[in-house]
Amino acid sequence: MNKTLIDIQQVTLSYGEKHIFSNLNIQIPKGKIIAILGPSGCGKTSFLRLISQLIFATEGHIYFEGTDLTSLSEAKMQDFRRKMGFMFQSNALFTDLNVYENIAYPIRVHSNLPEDLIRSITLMKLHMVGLRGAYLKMPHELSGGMARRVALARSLALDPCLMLYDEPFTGQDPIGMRVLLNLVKRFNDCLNMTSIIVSHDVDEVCQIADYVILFEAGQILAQGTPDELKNSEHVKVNQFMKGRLEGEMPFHYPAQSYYKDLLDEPVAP
Amino acid sequence: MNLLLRNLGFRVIQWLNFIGRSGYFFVQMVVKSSWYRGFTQDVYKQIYQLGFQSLGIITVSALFIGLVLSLQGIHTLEKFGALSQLGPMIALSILREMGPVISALLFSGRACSALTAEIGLLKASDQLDALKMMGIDPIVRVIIPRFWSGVIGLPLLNILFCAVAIVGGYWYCTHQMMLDSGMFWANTQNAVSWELDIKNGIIKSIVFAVLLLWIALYQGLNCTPTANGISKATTRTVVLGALCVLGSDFILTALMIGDW
Amino acid sequence: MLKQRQEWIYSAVGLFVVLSGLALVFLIFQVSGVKYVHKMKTYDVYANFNDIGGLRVHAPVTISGVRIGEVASIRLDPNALSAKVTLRLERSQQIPFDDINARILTEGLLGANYISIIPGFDNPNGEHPFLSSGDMIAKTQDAMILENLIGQLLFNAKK
Repeated sequence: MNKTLIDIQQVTLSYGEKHIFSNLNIQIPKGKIIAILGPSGCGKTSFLRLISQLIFATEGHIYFEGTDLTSLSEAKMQDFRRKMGFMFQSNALFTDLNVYENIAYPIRVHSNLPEDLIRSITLMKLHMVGLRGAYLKMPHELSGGMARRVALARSLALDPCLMLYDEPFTGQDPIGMRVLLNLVKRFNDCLNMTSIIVSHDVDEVCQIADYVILFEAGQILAQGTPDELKNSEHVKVNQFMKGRLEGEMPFHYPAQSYYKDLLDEPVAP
Repeated sequence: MNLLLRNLGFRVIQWLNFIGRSGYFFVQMVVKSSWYRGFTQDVYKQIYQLGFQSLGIITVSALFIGLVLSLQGIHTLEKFGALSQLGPMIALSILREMGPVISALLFSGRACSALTAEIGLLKASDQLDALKMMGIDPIVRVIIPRFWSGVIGLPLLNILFCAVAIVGGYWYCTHQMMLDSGMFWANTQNAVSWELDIKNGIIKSIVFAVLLLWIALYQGLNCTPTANGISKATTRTVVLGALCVLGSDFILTALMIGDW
Repeated sequence: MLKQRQEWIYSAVGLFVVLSGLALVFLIFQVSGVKYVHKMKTYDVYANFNDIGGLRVHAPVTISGVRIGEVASIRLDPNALSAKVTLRLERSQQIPFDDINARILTEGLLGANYISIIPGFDNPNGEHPFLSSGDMIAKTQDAMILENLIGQLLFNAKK
């Protein structure tokens, strides 16, 4: 049985002369929680969008369960997207629908189930995240944590086999964070899914991740189990995982000499 | 000099690109309409928002237009002793030109700008991407119901506009200026033809609706997803929409003038 | 909550469509004066004129001032080089054909041109008593051309 869910081969993503990824090769194993870490702007969100084909690679192939996603038409890709759940950083809840309708929406569109069956499924999903009582609320009436959990329930509405999380723990209070971590781990194990989490919360994510990939400037800096990376001898990896200021990760964006900028004529923008 | 030519070339290519992309968008809208299944409540909701909620501005404006036309008409026709032609003048101006054009411009300002802003906001808050991630084509679910609702709604609004304006003009002529009601209707009925005037007016209205909605939906879908981008897209919708309505009105009138 | 709002939306849209329908009916019947919904049966007759003046297609055809039809088409007869006018008449009454006359008159003094038919003699036992489809009206009177009139006036004044 093939253990790899997603096989990314020699993928290059560039916008004009700006390269996000060059010649990327990654294998995502099935059934595990994979954390994607890295400094801001290294292409983590682009990575998730590449897998779901919301943006397209300039070169290379992405294989999902053996099918090459880069060769699919938009219509066929839509069929595959039903197997993926995406949790957006901004939740992306439908603002004109209440919580119940938000979760029922994908079920209604993709199936002909009768109304009472849809009701049962929707309430079950809400119960999974603990928000069954809030089913009539509108998205703008929800707190941040509650909105996150509704988005989670909605991504699980079609029972996907792959879950993609784009910075799910940002802006959560400590309890909320713990709740979310717990839910992600339980869903992954109980529902037999594969999860890819993009996050900045190194310590929290490493508690549930089975495998960690560290990006820097579009290249894989390191990959391995969380313990391997935490105890790594590599200077940059160490600096990032421990969150230290000193180290080789540059603070300054590349610029000309400070002396020149202050005292000479600066270059007009 | 070289730089000027390069800029010009770049602009031409940008413009061709725009024509191509908006044309492709239009074709997508028409072709994918057959994929739309069920969910007629979406269409009803859109007709409600685009059509019913525009009734206020349309009827009030129509009333004023009718009153002004009769005021100006009486003032001018009096000098030629041609007050008998007041009815035809009001009815024909409204049915042929003012009804379709003014209702289209009002619709553009009210409904189309709101459409662009709404879709721009959906794009900015990732809701369109969220739809894509559920395996739902946002063009089928979001764009198409709005397009067809507008194409149905604007001609209906046009008919209401024409009726209210003519009634307003009639009321002013007969109750304020004490003109003969029978003469008003008799002359009007002689001058107005159902096939040539009313039907042509409705055809104009349908053409305007297609153009306006195409512009509004395209601008919303392709705006920069920031506050500034959405506001720019909204103004572009109204301006471009107005220009297209007036330009196509000229072309349609030229084609129809043989009938008249 | 959602159901209630949905019901209201349906009613509002229904109201909107009904109002527009009523407005359309008003426009068709009150403003454009369509009196009958079904197309009246019509028949075509022809008349040749030397000068039609300002006569246009869709101009009314009348008897004693009452409209009985309209001008369907105006063409140049290639053989006689005169204007061949097709009159489309409603089948409402029989018009005596014997010695029938068609004239082009002007509405008011400077108005539009229209065709007035003076019916012929009553001869119900003759061969061809009434005007029927395809007939050619032989006696015609051209439109009054203002320039000719002025010319005549000047000519007479000179005398």
